[in-house]
Amino acid sequence: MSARVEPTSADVVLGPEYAERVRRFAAAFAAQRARAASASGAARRAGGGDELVGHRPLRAGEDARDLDVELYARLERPFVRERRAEAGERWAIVLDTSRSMGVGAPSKLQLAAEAAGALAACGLRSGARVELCAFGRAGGVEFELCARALEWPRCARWLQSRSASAVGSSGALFTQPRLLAARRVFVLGDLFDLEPAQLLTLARRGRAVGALAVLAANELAPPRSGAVVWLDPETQARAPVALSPEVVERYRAALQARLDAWAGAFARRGQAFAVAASSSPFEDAVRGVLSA
Amino acid sequence: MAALLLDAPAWLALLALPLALACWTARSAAAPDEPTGALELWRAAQLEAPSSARGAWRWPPRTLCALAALVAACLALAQPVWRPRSGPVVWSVVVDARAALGLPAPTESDGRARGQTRAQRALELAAGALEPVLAAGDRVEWRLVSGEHVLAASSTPPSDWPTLDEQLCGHAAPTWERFDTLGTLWVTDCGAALAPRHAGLASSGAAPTPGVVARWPGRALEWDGAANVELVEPAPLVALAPEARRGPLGRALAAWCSARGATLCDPASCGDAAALRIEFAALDAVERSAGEGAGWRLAGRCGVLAPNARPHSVLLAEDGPRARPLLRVERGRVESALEPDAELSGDGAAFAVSCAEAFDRALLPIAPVVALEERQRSEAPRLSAPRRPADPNAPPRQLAGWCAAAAALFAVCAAALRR
Repeated sequence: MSARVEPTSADVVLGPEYAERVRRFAAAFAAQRARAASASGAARRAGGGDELVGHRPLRAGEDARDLDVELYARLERPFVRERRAEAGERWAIVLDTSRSMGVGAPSKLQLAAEAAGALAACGLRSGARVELCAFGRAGGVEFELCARALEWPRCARWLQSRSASAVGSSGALFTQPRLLAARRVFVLGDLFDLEPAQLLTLARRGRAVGALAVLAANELAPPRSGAVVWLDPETQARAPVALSPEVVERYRAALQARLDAWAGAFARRGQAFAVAASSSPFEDAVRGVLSA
Repeated sequence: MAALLLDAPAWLALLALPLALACWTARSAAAPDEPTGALELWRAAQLEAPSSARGAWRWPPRTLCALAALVAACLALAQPVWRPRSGPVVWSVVVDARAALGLPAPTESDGRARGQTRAQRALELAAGALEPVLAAGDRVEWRLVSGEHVLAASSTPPSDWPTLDEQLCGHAAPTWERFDTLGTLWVTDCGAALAPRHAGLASSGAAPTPGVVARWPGRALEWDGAANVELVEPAPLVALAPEARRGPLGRALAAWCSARGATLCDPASCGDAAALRIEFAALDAVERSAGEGAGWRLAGRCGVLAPNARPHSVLLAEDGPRARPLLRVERGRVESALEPDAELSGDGAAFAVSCAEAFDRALLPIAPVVALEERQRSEAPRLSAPRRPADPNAPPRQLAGWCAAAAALFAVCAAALRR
């Protein structure tokens, strides 16, 4: 795996290798999805399943089982079938850009943006229209809609223009009416200011919801001794804490209980929930949230 | 007792710098702000054991190493010296023999007057200063000193000497620099003017004490706390037999009494009241003798003076190898081995001067007096413990180099450690 480009601030930096990693990941996702659809026979069900939209040359790293052997026999060139999961499917990806997302090195926003880009690529590859949603630098909610795979670089640029500077509650993002038009909704953030029920209200009428909780290293594994003044970047509230094994253990237990509550609530509704450290590769994080 | 001494202790004042830096860095390094999105979880976790980290001081290893380097550097500048344990020591206590030591000691801080003299108070302080430094096998030698001369020495404190008050009479202060050595303690009443480099000091202090500041036969000058007052005292009596007053010694004595204000009296009448007695030895029937003074000569029939163990001086000795004393002078007494009518030849005036000097030594001072400035002086008691002298067989070791090396090592550690 190639080295990640570390951001030097709360901004998002998508390095030159990021696009290639995303392309490989989206291809693998599409292949996996096609196999799953093929195995379940969904493609042959009337009125549903993946729709054949054409052929394209086989790319490096793609599953050879998608190869159209009849075309290969005729043309002696490898072509794969391109399918569309469902015509008119729409994905919404909500990216939390509140100030607390700037915590960590790399920041939580960095991983969330990388994951958002990968999700967008997966959606576009599947033929879905992808709409990105986040707070803008001016404070208002901004959207970016991409309808074709060729438009993914625009999504990446839009993501790269994000920064962890918003002061509003991320809950305001989920009340946007445009999200209700999406078939799948992904929420990427630290989720500290949300409760599972707030997101699961979106999981209605066949709409799938996936949540990725991105946590910084000092949130997942804080130091066990010393003194520190914890600072909430959004409210500027401070909590002086003399760290001791007992206090740290209580914190970790509370954090684990919170994450367990999220995972349990999402599992009961058949939705996907994943936790990722901000220093982990985006591929692992996105796999977890696409698993549902 | 082994000891760590500093040859340049003034450099220790620089320790204030690392101490101030320590406080500043420890406070400025207190509890840094750490952003987190989980503030509420931390607040909940801390509810059962609330504590404040903002007021805490932090001592990161880098800071500690830097401070240790600065402290070691200051110690190196102070030039520490390690003096190994020495063997038994003979402590020398030099007691000031000035008459002022016989004056009453100043009242103590609580206002009590214990009826002590300055000498007794200073000796009490000295005993207290010696007690903690005395080790097994050590001895103490107490010396009463005037100038460079040791008037008396003993292994018992002078406060136990029956003659101390008599010995504190008309002497000069010790030549203190002569006795400024390790293992020595100065005992005096004027410590404010002294600054021993090596010796200890026990000073009783002083308070204005009215009393006689000058005295001569028949008169005295007394300071009453504000002014000097002249007093009339009884003239001292000088006992000389009437039949001896016609001889050369009798005539010289009469002239001296006239000049000094003394009164000649008959030994039979004045008895023990005489301050000076002139006595003649019993004469041998046939023997004659003569002696020569400074420009004069005395000759006549001669007797034998009884042996005298008291301090005395010889004014005239017999000519020849026998050199028997013919005129002997001690305090309160002049003895003559020659007859009262001995023949005087040579310079009679020189004879009178010689006799007057001898009479002065025998009679003056009539009573000890303390000079006016001594009575007017006022100062507080002062005490500094004596220090044990180094063992000459175990030379001291300089530790400045080790301190400098430690400073360098700590500095390297501080540079290598992460903040």
